[in-house]
Amino acid sequence: MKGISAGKFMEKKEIQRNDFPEYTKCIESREHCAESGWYAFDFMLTGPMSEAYIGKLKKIGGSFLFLTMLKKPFFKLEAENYIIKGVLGNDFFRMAVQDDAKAELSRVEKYLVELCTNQKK
Amino acid sequence: MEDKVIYLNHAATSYPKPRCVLKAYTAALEALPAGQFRGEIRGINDGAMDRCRTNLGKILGIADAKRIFFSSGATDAANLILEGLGIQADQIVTTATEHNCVLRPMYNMTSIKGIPQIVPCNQYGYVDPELVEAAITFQTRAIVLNHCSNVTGCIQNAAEIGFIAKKHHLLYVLDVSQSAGVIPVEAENWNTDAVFFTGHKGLFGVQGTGGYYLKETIPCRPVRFGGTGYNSERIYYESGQEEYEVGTQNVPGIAALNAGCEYVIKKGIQNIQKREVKLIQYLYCKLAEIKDIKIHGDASRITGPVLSFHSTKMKASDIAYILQNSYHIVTRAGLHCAPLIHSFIGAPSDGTVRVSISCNTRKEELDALAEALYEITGAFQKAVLTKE
Repeated sequence: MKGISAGKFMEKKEIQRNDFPEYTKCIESREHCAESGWYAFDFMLTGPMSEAYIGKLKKIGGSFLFLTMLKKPFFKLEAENYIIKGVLGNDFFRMAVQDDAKAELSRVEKYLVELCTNQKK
Repeated sequence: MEDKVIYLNHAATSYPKPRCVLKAYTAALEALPAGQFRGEIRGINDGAMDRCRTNLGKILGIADAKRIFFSSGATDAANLILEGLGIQADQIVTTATEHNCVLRPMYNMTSIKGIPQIVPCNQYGYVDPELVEAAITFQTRAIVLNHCSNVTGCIQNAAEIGFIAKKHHLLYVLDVSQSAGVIPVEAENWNTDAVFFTGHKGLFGVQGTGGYYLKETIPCRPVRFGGTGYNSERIYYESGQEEYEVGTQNVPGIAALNAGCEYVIKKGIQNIQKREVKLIQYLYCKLAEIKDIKIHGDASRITGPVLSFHSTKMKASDIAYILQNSYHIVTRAGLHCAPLIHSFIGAPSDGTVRVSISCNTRKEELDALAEALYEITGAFQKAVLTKE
């Protein structure tokens, strides 16, 4: 805690909490072919994704990969019928689903809305 | 280089367009419009289409440039040719390297029945002309060939396959979408009967332009009919009276394409090819040093300005995503609309990462790509998967 008061620490924590961007919309990705036949969608957010926010996305479920040593760290969450991937600091992430797993999109949308609501509480 | 985008997706569309192309496009839009055979307006747009035809003829080795017709692109042209020739799919010999602009019409047009004979390629994407000849049967009527693969950049021996087509009295249709403007094409010397091209790749035109050459003696039924501003009293066409450009043509796009053609002619196709081959071979050597990366191509062969690779550890889509979003390097991942070639070149089912350059690509941009790939593959080797 050297060089940082309790008050400052709280303020920093507050900033991190408020760093959670709000989910705005889900749009079909421009790169239709990129995900080998899966349907790709981009989830648009109001601001950049922090490490804490990405940590929360892990809860959606699946194998989590986080390449922190890249110029801009990349994460990927992979389950049987969907893939979520994005880059730290970007205001969007991609979700690719199989044709019969589009319900997963709604589940993630719901989770993102709840994430923001819970944060504001 | 912090936030500057490095664009290595020229096989999809070239970018940025030369200044002369932008100026020609704008000038054509600002000038009084002139339609083909319509009106009396004299200005920069008057004769724009014929000037472009002449320049395209120089690039594609076609002296009879009046037989070059404009379309909205290579896909449009391929559909018009394949349907217009009235050949059934099972009468066509084609290759595993073809793009969907050829494959999909063959497999889906209601007027075209059967399945084409697909000649395999080797691990580099090269189609042996002897295999093409061996695939010809008594019912074959045409050979359709992709001159340069948009996946591996491999250039086919279009001259020899043209010779085979002539020997067997077959129609010969050549797709020069990837080679026009970057590799010498000699359509007439290679005995082609039809050649189709796109305007927005190596010719530096804008999207929505392209066309095809149709040898005068080849019977090709027009697929579209409509106004041409010419012989308006004629409603029914007798054989030999066919018109292939109907409706209002994309004159500003064609003016831009003409400027792109002039840019290519001024630079010289041989010079363009020489520079691009040098750059691709340089990139090949850089990427060959990276562990876990497998390149689909042969550095010793002269290739087109395309190189594909895959990682033995990571998905192509992940690599391209990271390159674009972490490093601002634009490549392309997937099957590249050429679905058959991948199993022959040993690519995974999700395809490859494709790097495609232009004559204006700089060596430093390829260095930045190689450096990024070093970091990405290195990071992945050290990464630990966790499960929620």
